[in-house]
Amino acid sequence: MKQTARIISVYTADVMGVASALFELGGMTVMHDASGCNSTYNTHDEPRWYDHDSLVFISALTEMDAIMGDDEKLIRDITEAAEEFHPRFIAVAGTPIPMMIGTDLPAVATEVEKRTGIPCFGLKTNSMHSYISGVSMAFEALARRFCDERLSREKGSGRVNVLGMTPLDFSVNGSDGAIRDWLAKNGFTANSVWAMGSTLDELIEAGRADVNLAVSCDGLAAAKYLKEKFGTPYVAGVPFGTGFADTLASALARASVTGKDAVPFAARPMEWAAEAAIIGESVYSGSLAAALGLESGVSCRVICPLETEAGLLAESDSEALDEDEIIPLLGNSGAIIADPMYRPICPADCRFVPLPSEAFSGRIYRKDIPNLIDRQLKLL
Amino acid sequence: MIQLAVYGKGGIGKSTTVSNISAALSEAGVKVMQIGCDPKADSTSALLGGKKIETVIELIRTRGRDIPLSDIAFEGYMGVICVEAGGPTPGLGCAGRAITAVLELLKEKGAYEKFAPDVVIYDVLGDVVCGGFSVPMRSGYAQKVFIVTSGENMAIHAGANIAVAVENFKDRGYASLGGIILNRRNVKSEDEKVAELAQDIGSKIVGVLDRSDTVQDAEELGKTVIEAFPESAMAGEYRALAKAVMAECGMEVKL
Amino acid sequence: MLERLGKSPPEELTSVPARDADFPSPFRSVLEYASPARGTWNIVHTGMLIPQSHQVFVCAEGCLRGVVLTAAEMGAIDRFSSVAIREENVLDGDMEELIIDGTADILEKLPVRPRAVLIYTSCIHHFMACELPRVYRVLRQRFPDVEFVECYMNPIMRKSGLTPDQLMRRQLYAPLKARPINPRAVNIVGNDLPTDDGSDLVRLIRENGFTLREITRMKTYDEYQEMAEAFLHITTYPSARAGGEELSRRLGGRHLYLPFAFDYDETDAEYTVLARELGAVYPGSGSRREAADAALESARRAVGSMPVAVDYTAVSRPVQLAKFLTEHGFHVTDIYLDAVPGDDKPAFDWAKEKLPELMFHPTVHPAMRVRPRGGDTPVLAIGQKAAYFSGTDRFVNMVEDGGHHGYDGIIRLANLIEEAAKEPKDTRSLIQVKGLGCGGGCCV
Repeated sequence: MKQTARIISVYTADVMGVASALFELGGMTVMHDASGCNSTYNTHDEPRWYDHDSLVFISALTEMDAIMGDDEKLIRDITEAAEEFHPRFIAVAGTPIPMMIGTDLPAVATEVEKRTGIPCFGLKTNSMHSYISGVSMAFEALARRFCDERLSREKGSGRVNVLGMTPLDFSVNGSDGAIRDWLAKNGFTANSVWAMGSTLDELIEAGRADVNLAVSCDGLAAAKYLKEKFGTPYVAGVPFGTGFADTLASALARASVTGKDAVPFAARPMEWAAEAAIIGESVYSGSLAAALGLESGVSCRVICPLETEAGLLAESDSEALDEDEIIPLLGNSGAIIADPMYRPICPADCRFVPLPSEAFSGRIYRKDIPNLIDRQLKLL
Repeated sequence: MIQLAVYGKGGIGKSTTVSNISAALSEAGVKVMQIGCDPKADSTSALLGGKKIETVIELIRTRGRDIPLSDIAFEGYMGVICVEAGGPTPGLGCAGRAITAVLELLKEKGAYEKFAPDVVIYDVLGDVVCGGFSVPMRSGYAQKVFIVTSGENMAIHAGANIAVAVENFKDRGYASLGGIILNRRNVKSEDEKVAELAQDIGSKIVGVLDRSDTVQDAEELGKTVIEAFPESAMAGEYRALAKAVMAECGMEVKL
Repeated sequence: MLERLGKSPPEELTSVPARDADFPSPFRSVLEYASPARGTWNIVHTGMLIPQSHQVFVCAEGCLRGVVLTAAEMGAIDRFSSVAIREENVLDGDMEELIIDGTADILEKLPVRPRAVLIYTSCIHHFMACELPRVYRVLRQRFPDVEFVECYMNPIMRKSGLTPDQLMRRQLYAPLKARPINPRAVNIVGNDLPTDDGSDLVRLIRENGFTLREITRMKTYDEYQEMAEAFLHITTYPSARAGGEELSRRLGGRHLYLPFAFDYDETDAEYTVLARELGAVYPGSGSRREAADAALESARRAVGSMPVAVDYTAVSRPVQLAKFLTEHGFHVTDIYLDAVPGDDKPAFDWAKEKLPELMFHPTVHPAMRVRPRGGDTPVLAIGQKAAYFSGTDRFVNMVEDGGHHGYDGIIRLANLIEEAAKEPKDTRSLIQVKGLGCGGGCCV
């Protein structure tokens, strides 16, 4: 049955995606929800929580506040915190009850901004979508609000914004640094990385980039905005392996010249009898499939259980949001590459290759999440 | 204990009708509790000299849940026990949850046992837009639903919608339709339209109230017609209605 | 790079001396922060205590995240299933059908039919006025061989009646079916951890020939059902009290609330009452007070001049503990809590007068996020939050009174304090494990 899961986990939700996306940028994120719901994010979705004083709070909404639609309390509490901490910006993200009662978070944000003078945006998350939606919203809102419109695309400069970089997809295992190194190795520079290892001031300069690289589906909304505003073309893909890392570097160079967007991993040949299945986010998994194909000649298809977009899935890939939609797709796979929490629904006799994802299993297998950027994969 | 819920389009005269029924029954020695289920919280004001009482929601919000029943319920005309659920200001919050929370609290505090009314009447906001507004018609609450309507199209549509809700829930042991109360506005073909509604929803007209200035006169005094103009023809109509409504609920009242 | 905030918040936001503190809450309720200390049990951990049970959570995906991973981290993912509410359910109004059909679907797929299914509905079910009694009625008719337990994950209701914690500790015993009372059977109910076998409480019960049961000791569902025969239900944890009273009323037994007190007279008074209930005689504390004093003195010497900080997650009476330790020569300087528990009011009043400089700190105030953690003076902390906020590696890693009780409990706590003073711990790793003592391994 749709929407039920007998045994598998659930992905990080949109509101947590917002917090993760904005974590390092010096802002303040407020989840508008009941007390305690933020500790789920801190514990399971945020490996940086212990070591960094990033400002992520919850509004501690109570039944009576919700019945009365007492937005003034929310506005007042956020204003008070803002006056204490002076964040660079404030994001207020919604959850099921505010959605249900129609709380106007953009209006709340306008009021907070009026009172504090701090840029504030209200994001219409509702905990019923995955982090892809939340991260997308957060990065797009940032781009619209902060990217300096006076800048222009520096074509041929080799400056690249990396969009969609969060620990939810990449953990904290050095993948972000490895992407910077890979860019440098290929004659590019990381103009900004959205959003690990970069400051808000670097993100503000995003308009200068030559090309953008979306390393997750959740980086595409910002990529499209930057294209619209600055004409910056984007390439979607993660430089996994060595062969595909080279392919992606070439795609970046080509996009710089042609000004056209590209999704190099989606043009994988149609494989009726793919030898392996990868379960995961579309850009990540599609790139991995392409990389495995180049490295070991293994044909892979992607099963994407998250929101995706047209053009990110190859012909033999599938979208499958629920446990009951995923199970029938796993039957004929020789190898299945997926987070270990998918193991119980995979055929007992399959070759299961664990590839954990923070967005699915949280911190449980964190130490086993490999950095696969621009190096031999050794998965199959 | 008989419980009934009265629904109908906003402004159609539910509260006026319900208050007069409560007053009429009370005069006949029936102990009545009238519970206003509308954020406007004006269901019972005619029983309280035009005064609006503090709502349960406001009391919970300001004083917490440990409020005594004596602070929640007020004695009105001829001993009618008056309660107003309250709710958020328009455009905000969740009025449905407000109603649910209040009715749950009344049960939790044993209000029904403490006051031991013979009849409980729920006067419910006009448009049943979400689950919370159907709580008064659920099992454990009203056994019968009455719809107040005029011949105006919007009132008829609202009435039909309420009937749909009642019908949808018929397998759940919720209230059944007691009937329609025609509160005349003297629009064209009013009687025929309402009769047609009754037929469409498989119900009947249990009472008819004429359009009368007496109603407004009483309102201006902050009283029910029963109290302000007991000898009037309108008072007679309210008494007849009260008797008919009670008869539908299986109670014979001498009025 | 990460933007650093730099300045510390004003002290008054995060520190209130006892003399100025208000009861029950010394702090205003504003936005909230959550520290990495996660050792207290949540509704998943507690629910799993019913043997041969399975949990089904019905809520939005964001809300599912914490609970499914709790189950996974405690090694109980095979006893956990979920039904995700989506926007269309809210709009279509088929929320009740979703619970029914989703649960049925899960039951059909489970390899073994569980004896009990705990269904956790969520905040949105209250707001949508879902008729939960009907849902359970339908499920019980469809699956008469399964006991459905009505549980709640509804933190929005934390100020509306019983708290989620109180509700869970009550509902945990809802499946117990009345049976003839056994006048020699006693329960301790509402705790997540078994009460120490060596505790005065357990010994008093057993040494007088009574069978003691706690849910934590029950291995099968049938054994758990035997708890219904108890003539006496004892609660020791404040959140368990309401549930204990209701249970005894329902099953025809009696209820006694005997909290873990840091006060010798109170302890003796409790055991006197208990003994009377058991038809026995409490022999008095005997040499127990001296033994406790000795253990405390040994701990005090080990702690030396280290200031002591206590929090509300370690013990249910943090202020009384602060008083008790102060009276035994410890230098208790800080308490971490957001609200003073009702039971702690007498100690709170004492502190206002006798220990006016005892500093109260919130654990959820946003300013705690950036308040400096740890200074030059090492602190001995009792509780994970106290340890985290004090920046110390000398702490007693304990939650929810730790299963301790009476003089034995005080001695054990003294030993734990002594051990904490002597041996540093890996605070960072230890405090992030959810559900201390639940038996799950974690990954952190």
